[in-house]
Amino acid sequence: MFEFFIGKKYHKTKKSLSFINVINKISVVGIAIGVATLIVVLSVFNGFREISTTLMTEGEPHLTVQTANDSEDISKYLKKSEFVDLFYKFEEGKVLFGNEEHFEIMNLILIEDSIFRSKQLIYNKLSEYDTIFYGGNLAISFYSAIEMNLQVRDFVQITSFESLENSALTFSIPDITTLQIRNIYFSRNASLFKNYIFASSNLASEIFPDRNRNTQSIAVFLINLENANEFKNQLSAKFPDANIKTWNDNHAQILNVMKIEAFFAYLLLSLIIAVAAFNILTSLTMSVQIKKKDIAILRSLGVTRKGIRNIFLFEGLLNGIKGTSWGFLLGLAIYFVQKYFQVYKLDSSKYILDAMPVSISFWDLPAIVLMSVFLSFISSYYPAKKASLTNIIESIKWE
Amino acid sequence: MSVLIKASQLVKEFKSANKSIKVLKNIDLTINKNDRIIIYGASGAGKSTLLNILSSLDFPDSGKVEFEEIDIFSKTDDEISAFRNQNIGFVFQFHHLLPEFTALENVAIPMMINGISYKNAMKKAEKMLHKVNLSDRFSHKPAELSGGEQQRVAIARALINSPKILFADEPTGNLDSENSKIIQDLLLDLHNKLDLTVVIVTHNSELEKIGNRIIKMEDGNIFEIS
Repeated sequence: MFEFFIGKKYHKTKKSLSFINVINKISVVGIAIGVATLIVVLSVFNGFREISTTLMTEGEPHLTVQTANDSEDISKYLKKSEFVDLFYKFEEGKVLFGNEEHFEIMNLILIEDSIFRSKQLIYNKLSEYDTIFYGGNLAISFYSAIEMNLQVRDFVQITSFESLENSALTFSIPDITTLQIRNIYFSRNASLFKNYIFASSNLASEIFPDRNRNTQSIAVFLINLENANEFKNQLSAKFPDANIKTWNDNHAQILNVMKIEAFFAYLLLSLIIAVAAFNILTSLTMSVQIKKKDIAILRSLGVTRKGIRNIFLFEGLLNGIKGTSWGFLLGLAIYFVQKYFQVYKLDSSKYILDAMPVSISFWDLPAIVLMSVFLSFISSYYPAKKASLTNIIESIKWE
Repeated sequence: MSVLIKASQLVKEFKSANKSIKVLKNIDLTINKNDRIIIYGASGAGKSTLLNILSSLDFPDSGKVEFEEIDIFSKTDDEISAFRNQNIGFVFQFHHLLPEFTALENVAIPMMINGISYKNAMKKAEKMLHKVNLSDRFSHKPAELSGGEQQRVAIARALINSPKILFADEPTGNLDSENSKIIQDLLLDLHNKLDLTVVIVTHNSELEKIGNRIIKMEDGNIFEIS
């Protein structure tokens, strides 16, 4: 393709006006800085988003399924599925929880007894603080234990809100269940850490005696939480009457905010590339001006207007591609240095991380490269088009 | 003799703010295959304008140019470009080589424009440079060549696509007498070897000797002298 051959030669050769060379270099450096900045900033956004997602979902089911009639069939299906790591039936409700000295309002999750006893919940989903686990009774968070001065083997009382409401209406004494703390768990998920306690579902009829149990809830943990939506679709197709929610649905707002934030960062930082690419327009316009005679000669040799346009498009695009390549390598280098050598540290006494998190999303890289090349193309197009309109006779006479 | 180019009633006018100059006044000209036409005349007589129109570089205000019985100005811009590339060779007074490219690349470019691969174009360009006695100048850029050598590269470039006609506008106008003689002999030699039709615009009376038809141009009109 002769257009590329000529465009590449023009790109490589130093221009007779050193001013143009300087502008060319500024555009390449500017694009490189823009691309590198985009890669680094977006990888930091991704890093923080991954950490936030981990924190948000720690101990929380990846899917919750509510069903009236299909619970056994769904359980069988979940057991066979290759996506599923763990699932259990559960019940939940608000309770008043405490001892003689302190009372707190908590969400009580009653987990299928076999799961609760086998420690799978604790082992898989939460960081176990206390290794003593006898099964049967109650697991509370480390945070609650400190707040309420509780420890393993202490006895606590639990009263459901439903029982409190009932007693208020009937002027009777509420049902109080006494349980022994058998486990204290640690979680980085703030809401789980502060507001949740866990017990076996064997206690369901005792704590929530008057509850209608027509609908059953199933918590599902997947091997990879990113598959939640895909698995939800699969499950919905199979069990259309079931009400299924993913962790994405539960945190949709905050996840959307993070996505919008990253998108606007992408747009704003693309402005750096746009400004740098504008220099391509300037230098290429001057290059076209000083090459008018060459253009006329090429036209006299049979190059079409489109061919002339392509030659200068290639010249401009090669500047853009050069800057993009350097920026790409620089951005990746900074990313890998931070990922593996953690150059930018965070104060671990203040934050749960000891270094700034970085993560590259697969689609970010082509999006950045395409944006950079697109902006270079736009900047090259006007001067290239102008070049194609050169008058042969007038330019050949210009000697 | 078969007709290669037939120009009829060519008119070209240049307009400025307050006056217009008619450079070509209803010119009729027939160029036969294998002709060696020399056009001479004073500066501003319209020689170059006529050459530019005959070679499709410029458009007449009225009249038409038929190349092998096809009106070239009825073609689209892209078709005219392809037509120029395949049928017409140019040699200008100032060699007009592309300064960034070597002699070999300059000669190869018209072939590449015609869709020939870089490798094949370079091979043919080597042969062409050999024909104009520049085998030792392949990798030299135009600035590293003498005026005569530059013009020989320009001739090689003009002939690489085996055009049917070569237009030369003052090909020796920028050369000393020794180099003018070399170019003159080369043009005659190539005409004989390649069966080429040649149209030369010149001030050089020596060049008139190689023509089989001599045309004088004066005030926008042509007169066939011999």
